[in-house]
Amino acid sequence: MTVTTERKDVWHLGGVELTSRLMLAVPETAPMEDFGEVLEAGRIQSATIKVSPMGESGADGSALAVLREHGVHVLPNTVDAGTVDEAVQAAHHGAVLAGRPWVKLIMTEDHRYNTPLPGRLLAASERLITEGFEVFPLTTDDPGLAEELAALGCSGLMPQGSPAGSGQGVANPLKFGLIRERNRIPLLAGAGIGTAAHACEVMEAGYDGVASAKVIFSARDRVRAATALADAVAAGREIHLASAPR
Amino acid sequence: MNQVRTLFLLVNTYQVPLETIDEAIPEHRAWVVGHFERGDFLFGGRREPRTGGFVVAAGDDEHAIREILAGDPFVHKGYAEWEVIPVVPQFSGTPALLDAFSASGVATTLPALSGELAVRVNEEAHTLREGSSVVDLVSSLEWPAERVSIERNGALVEPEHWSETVLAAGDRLTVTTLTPGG
Repeated sequence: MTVTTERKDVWHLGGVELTSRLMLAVPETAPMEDFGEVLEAGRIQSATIKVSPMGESGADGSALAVLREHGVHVLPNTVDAGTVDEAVQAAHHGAVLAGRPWVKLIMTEDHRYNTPLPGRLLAASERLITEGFEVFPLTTDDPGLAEELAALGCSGLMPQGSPAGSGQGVANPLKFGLIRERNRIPLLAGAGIGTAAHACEVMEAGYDGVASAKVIFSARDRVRAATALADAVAAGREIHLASAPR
Repeated sequence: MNQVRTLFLLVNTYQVPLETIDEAIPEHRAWVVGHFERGDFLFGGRREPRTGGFVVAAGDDEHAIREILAGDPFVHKGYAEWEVIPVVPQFSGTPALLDAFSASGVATTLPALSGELAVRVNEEAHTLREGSSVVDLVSSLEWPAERVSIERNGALVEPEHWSETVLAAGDRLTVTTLTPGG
């Protein structure tokens, strides 16, 4: 693909400068045999994986090792934390392992759709920001909640286009657009991206990035899907930059 | 030690008034002391209020213990009745007590050898050498050190403090990593 912008189109996830706008969300079921190839094909520079006790459900840190080998920035998430205290503790572990005090803050008790729990999300964000963390909450597509999280000092927001794992894309484009209009901090579609077209649409709407697992890991050919998804994200970004201001 | 022995909690209850007991105490005490010397009894004393006595003893089996108790002058005279409760030591705050059990050949679910340290790692029993630090713990695990983060009794131990953090018996350690999910 030919990028026609005069200078490099970079963006910042917290203190990290990135050129790739596709964050890989790595699902529990991700096969490891072609994981490195998927990272290369998707031009992946950032990925989110969860804090977990060693040995639980086969957790052995091998995916972490592959991500590091490929120079991918690892953003730990707190999906298994039910309470604010557990999330803060998980974030601390994540900071040790990622080498950076940052976190994709997930506060949910719903392990099917990761429905965010707003009260705990705000409370945990506030505590972690006070401790100096860069906090990226997985939030709903609610502009009001987004506004409150941004006001606390979150370093970016990861609104769900639709419930995690549903693959329904951006269910409410108006609300998703309002979140963009009203916030200058980095925004990534945090969940619900089911197709490459969804990813392109989010980028075209001016989001800074897309976090996705489903498009790649539900594909028959994961490496090819990773290439296609990265291209879709880049195409959406290009047309956003090319378009007249809306 | 020849074989693994069992620990018993022995409790007796007086069946006669204390004046009667007091007259027979010297005889009873001589019998007790003999068994401490032989190593059958580890420690003992009286119940409070004074309704009887207790001994923690090590024996091959319950039958052997009951034979010992049959030699108690209190039992001959019908002054006291013993209850025999076999137990397995699982928790101790001091390595010294574990060493005492070990010296008596008593089975515990804790390490019986002096110099070992029993901790819990991710809810499972784990044994280290006494004086071990978090660095020693990490090197005893099957996972590379750069893939783990350590929590001790609910508090994160930053890697720069691993070497100076010495573990204590009964410590609860959580070893975490980053793994696909979320």
